[in-house]
Amino acid sequence: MYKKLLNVNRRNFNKFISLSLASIFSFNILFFKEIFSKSLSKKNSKIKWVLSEKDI
Amino acid sequence: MIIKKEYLLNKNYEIIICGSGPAGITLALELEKQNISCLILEAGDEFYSDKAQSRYEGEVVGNFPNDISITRLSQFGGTTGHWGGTCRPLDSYDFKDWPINEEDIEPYLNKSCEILEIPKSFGEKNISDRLKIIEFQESDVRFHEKYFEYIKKSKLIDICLNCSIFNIKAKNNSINEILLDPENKLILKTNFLVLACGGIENSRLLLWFREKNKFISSSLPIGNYWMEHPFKKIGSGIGNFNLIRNNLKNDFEKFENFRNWGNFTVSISPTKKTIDEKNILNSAIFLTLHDRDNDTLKNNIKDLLCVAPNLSNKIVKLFNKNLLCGISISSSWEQDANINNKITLSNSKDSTGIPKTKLEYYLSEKTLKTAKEMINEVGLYFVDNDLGRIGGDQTIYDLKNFISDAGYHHIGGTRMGENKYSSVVDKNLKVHGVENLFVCGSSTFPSGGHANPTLSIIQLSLRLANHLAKKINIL
Ligand SMILES: Cc1cc2nc3c(=O)[nH]c(=O)nc-3n(C[C@H](O)[C@H](O)[C@H](O)COP(=O)(O)OP(=O)(O)OC[C@H]3O[C@@H](n4cnc5c(N)ncnc54)[C@H](O)[C@@H]3O)c2cc1C
Repeated sequence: MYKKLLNVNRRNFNKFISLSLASIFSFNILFFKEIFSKSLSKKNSKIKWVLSEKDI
Repeated sequence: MIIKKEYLLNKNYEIIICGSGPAGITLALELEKQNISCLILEAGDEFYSDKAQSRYEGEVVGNFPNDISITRLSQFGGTTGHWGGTCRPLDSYDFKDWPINEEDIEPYLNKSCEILEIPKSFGEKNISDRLKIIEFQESDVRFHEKYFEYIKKSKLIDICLNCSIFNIKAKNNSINEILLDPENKLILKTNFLVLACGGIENSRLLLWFREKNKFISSSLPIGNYWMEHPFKKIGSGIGNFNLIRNNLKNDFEKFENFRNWGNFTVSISPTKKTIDEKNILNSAIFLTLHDRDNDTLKNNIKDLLCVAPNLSNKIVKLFNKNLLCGISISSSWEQDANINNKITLSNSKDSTGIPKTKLEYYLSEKTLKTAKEMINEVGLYFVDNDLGRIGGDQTIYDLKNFISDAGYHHIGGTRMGENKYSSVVDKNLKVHGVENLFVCGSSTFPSGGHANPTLSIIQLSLRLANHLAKKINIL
């Protein structure tokens, strides 16, 4: 399941890159590159988030 | 005026007050206004001394976060020598287990704010029927700076520094002699004795007096029901800075460097409805917003995307608009009164021959449940209003290892009440069963709310001064 989530994230990241092509070399890209390159799996979360159903 | 210990021999004072912290000084000054003289016995010197401070050493068992010899100060002015100055009165519903109501101490709020040099303005704004934003005031008053020279010149207030009480003697359940040394060389006479020695020492002294004397009842729960205000970072989050600012806007907190803990801080508290429905304790949550240069933001995004991938698009868009902020959530909250959290006398003695303090202190499930439920309440509010997302840090899910970051507010131990089996002093702060022995300070609070205690301590001292003045004028 979390592989699937990871893919969703990658998709979002790709979308984001295409959205902001104009600033492709900007600070924003560097900021998010680090975040999305991290293993985004549920077991790596240290915070118990209060979420809505749509978030997950 | 300052009086040396040797000149105290066989002196007779109407009232003797032990301790020159805010509780003792407020009482003495108010009595002076009513033309009543008193003597203050202060165990410390004018300024800090290792010798006086060492009397505060003691033993701690359980989750207590700090060394009890550094969380208070033994000197003229007491712990206000290094206090933080944050002030807010108790909420009306904090008095649920008290023998008095908010109305009994509210008449003293104006004067207390004048003493602490703060505006009498403690704004509140409900943001829903479950949560409210609250206002604190910050006092810069240190009682030494404000009152030492004045008391030195006072004709009605005598103060003896480096002088602590060793024992008391009573006749017909009324104290008539105060002994200042173990050899019984220095004896004073008084009509009323008030202990205002701080939230740990009041219990220690009373326990010691009871060990030495039969007239203090063994049924009184002296030292029991001891409490603190846990303080800790309990949660994290990310949010839309503009939306949060607009949504939590109020007339009293202007989102400006409030308390210097972060860029912008706002304080949120549960309403009575939330406290009752969730069966939790009172609490204050401090939301601090961090800008994008702060690591908090990056770390919180990473963590959130592990569990909420659908939010990534939104996050990126907000980031591009420079609206995304990181959120740190700290809290200072109430602890429930538990008979087993207690001060007892240790086996070792201090330099004056009185047993040192032993503090047994554990946190309850309900205390941590309060932190968890408050994260949930504020979290749902953020979801409903689409302000961002917040969550609880791991620490609040681990009761066994939870250690708060504070240990500064010492509450209970000589709690106020009507029943001599479940309380130590009555509603006028008189020790049950002893005619002229009073206790003043947060040790008398039956519950602590979430508000910092000193403003309420001062209100109680003013009330006690009025009560004593009435008694003296009748006699
Ligand atoms: C780091 C820190 C930060 C704090 N910040 C805040 C804050 O922001 N807001 C707030 O409301 N509160 C704060 N507090 C708590 C506040 O300092 C206390 O509530 C307040 O000082 C209590 O007043 P008191 O007069 O009862 O006791 P104290 O101020 O502790 O004074 C007791 C006095 O009694 C003397 N004494 C002790 N034993 C004897 C004896 N046997 N004989 C004679 N004299 C004796 C002591 O030497 C001392 O001078 C803080 C405390 C600490 C440690």
